[in-house]
Amino acid sequence: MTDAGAATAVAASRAAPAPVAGRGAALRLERASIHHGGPRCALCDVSISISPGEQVAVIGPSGAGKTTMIGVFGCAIRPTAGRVVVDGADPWTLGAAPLRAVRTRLFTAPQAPPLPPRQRVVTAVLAGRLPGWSLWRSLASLWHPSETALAAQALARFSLDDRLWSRVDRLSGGERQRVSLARALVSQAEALLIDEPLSALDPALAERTLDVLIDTASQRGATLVCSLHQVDLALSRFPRIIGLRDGNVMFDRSPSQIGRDDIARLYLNREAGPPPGEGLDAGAIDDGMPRPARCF
Amino acid sequence: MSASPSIPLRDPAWRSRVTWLVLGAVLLWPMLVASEFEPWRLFDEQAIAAASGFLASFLPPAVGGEFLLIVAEAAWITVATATAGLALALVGAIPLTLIGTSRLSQSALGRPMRRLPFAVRQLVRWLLIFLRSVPELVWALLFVRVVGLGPTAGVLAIALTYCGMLGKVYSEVLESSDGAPTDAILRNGGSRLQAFLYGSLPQSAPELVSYTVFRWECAVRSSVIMGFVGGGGLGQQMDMSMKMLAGGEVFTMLAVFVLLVALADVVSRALRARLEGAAHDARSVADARERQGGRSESHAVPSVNAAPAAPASAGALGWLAALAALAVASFVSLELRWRDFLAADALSKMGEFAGGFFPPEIGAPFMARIAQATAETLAMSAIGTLIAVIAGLALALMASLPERGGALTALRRLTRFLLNLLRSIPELVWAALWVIAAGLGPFPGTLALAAHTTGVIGRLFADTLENLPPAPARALRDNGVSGPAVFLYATLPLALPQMVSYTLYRWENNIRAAAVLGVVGAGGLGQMLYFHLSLFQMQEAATVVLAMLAIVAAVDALSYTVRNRLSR
Repeated sequence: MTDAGAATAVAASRAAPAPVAGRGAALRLERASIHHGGPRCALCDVSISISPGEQVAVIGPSGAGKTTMIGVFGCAIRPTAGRVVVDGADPWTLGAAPLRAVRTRLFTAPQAPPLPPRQRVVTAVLAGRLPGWSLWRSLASLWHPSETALAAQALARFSLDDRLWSRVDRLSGGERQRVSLARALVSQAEALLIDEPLSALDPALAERTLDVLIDTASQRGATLVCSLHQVDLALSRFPRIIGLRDGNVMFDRSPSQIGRDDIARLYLNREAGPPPGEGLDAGAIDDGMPRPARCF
Repeated sequence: MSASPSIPLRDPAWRSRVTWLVLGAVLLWPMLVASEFEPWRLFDEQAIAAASGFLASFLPPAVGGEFLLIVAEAAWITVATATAGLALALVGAIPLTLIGTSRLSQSALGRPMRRLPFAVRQLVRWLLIFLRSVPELVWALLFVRVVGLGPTAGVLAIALTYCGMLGKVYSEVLESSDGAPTDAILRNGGSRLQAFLYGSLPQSAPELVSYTVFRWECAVRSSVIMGFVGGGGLGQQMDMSMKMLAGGEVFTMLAVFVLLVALADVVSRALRARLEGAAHDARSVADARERQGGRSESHAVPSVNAAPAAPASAGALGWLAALAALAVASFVSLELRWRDFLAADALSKMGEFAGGFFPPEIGAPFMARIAQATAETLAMSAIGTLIAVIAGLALALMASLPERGGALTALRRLTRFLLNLLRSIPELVWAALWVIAAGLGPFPGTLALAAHTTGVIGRLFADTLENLPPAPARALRDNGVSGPAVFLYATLPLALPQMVSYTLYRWENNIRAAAVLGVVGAGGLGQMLYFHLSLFQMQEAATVVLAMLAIVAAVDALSYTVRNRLSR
């Protein structure tokens, strides 16, 4: 009963568009470790199981291994020990083509939006459709974008539809971040693995943006794994929270079972990271927006 | 999805894209006609017989001890001429770059540039254009008049032309680098030199050094051409062997040549590998800045520490010292006749020579021939460059394959070898070879430009592709996008501005090269220039040189506009 909680309620409270048929991917880490060289592990002997369609937030101080975990789930980073299992199979034991097929089912959105500066927004968004397109169609779409309406709709959900024909480098950091999330929206993946989607957004925008992601995942039945620095948002929107610190899972349960002291311990004594309760990223602070109430 | 978009879904760029496509097609046709682009001519019986006959005479290559000794000495003179010429070019190009780069201008900070600095900058730009618009060969002919036969004329010709090329490309590299570090230093009261050393240089050093070493290879090729007009070295030997139809000797010298350029490639690669560490540091700091989210474009946050001046490693300095030593050795061994050049009568000789060009011939029938030759030269350079871009891009894709072992690595190395081969043979030699297969006229000239430029562009494109930030391509690959689509949607949009810039630059270069090809009967303004110079018709030659300057300036202005538009 981990996936039915708050997120579905949030989704139901909005005008629900026609649901897209689909299913979520089941993701599992089995004693997975990542060593980037050196004695420290970015992810240390972690075992997690995520059911199809489940929505999970990953929180933890900077450098805890959130990005690495997203990368491992998305089959972008190969575990140095242990294994990752997608729908019952370890993709790294497969050949190059089946591995690619698995990746098309998992949409990984990196934190800093890696969009070519001179690309147009419409093209950057439609790049999320590429796994389903033939090469000829990919080529033709550069000359004259196909599925323009789809891209415009995805952008509209982030209030960016007026940017459809702009160039990526004309956008602000927050707009760029939402463009890369719009790419996630148009993709047909069964799991959305999103690394800190709100790092460049102001608090109000962050809330709305996260809701769009959660809605989309719910409608499609897609699995959603989201790493967040906004502890309050994570606790209020996700039915399941994974607390990560120094590559270890500190807790993995529903928000109702997470107390103040759990959060305080998670962020304890971080010199580089935000102090407890200062979960917002630097980019969101100086926008002159009122800070939302914290839950501790 | 619930929200309905509020913007017209019609692509606003569609109309202009179609317009440009149609315009391009309309312009291409007369170009193909003017360059006498008739590939089938290569395949008629007579052409195949002539080409295969000449190729057969290449074997066996000449390897006699005495001949090899001559070749070795000639090769050294060629290298020394190139090195000394490039060293002199650097002495001129560096200060001109510092003056000519508007990014380093204090007067341009936060307001339109003032009138005097603007005028100085324009003056420098025109000087650089003038220096590189006159082909090396013409400079060499001029200096042979003043200082006599021998390497001195070659060194001076290379120094002047390459000063113009280096100054221009250095400025371009600096202008296209991230302006924030430089700006921050200037804003905080730093001087132009400080802004260059601490802002621009750290991020651009690998590219600048790489380009300089690359130009040195080009200078080696140029100095061969100098040999054809009496500048000594491999070119002179090759000219003699060609006149004696000694294919074996020509083959040996071509092989020595390819080896020389391969050697320069190794040096360039070793240098770049050592400088790459520094570039990587700067890039990761820039990434970190971007991660702060959208504040990188705000000028309110001066990012002085955004690109720390990473010290070049000791290894790189060692290589640079070795190159400097090579330059010194070149100056010492070449027996340059500075005294002749500085003699009292040298000036009057030069004046007399220069005076012969005046007044240029401007009679109407002559001008008609000039117009036709100009069109031919333009068409040759444009079609040759176009072929080279298509072939070069294909080869660059193969040459930038990752070194992961297996068949793909073998393909990578093979392609790099092919690119080196194409590039290390000068346009003039290519033209001489194509004339055998395709007869006289602009067509072999076009093919010669295409062959050499493919090597150059393929190499530059491959370097561009390898130096791109990997994140956009990685993001798509992680989502299961196929290789070709990753290229179209992540790699190409990142690489395109640099590629277009290189292409435009090579096109300008090819216009000058097209002039040189006339020497072997490959058409265009070059053929006219060679014809009138041979007959000592200096006034006609002057008009031809002016026509060359005019089209080079026109193409320069065009590519400057295009590049400006692209960098917006």
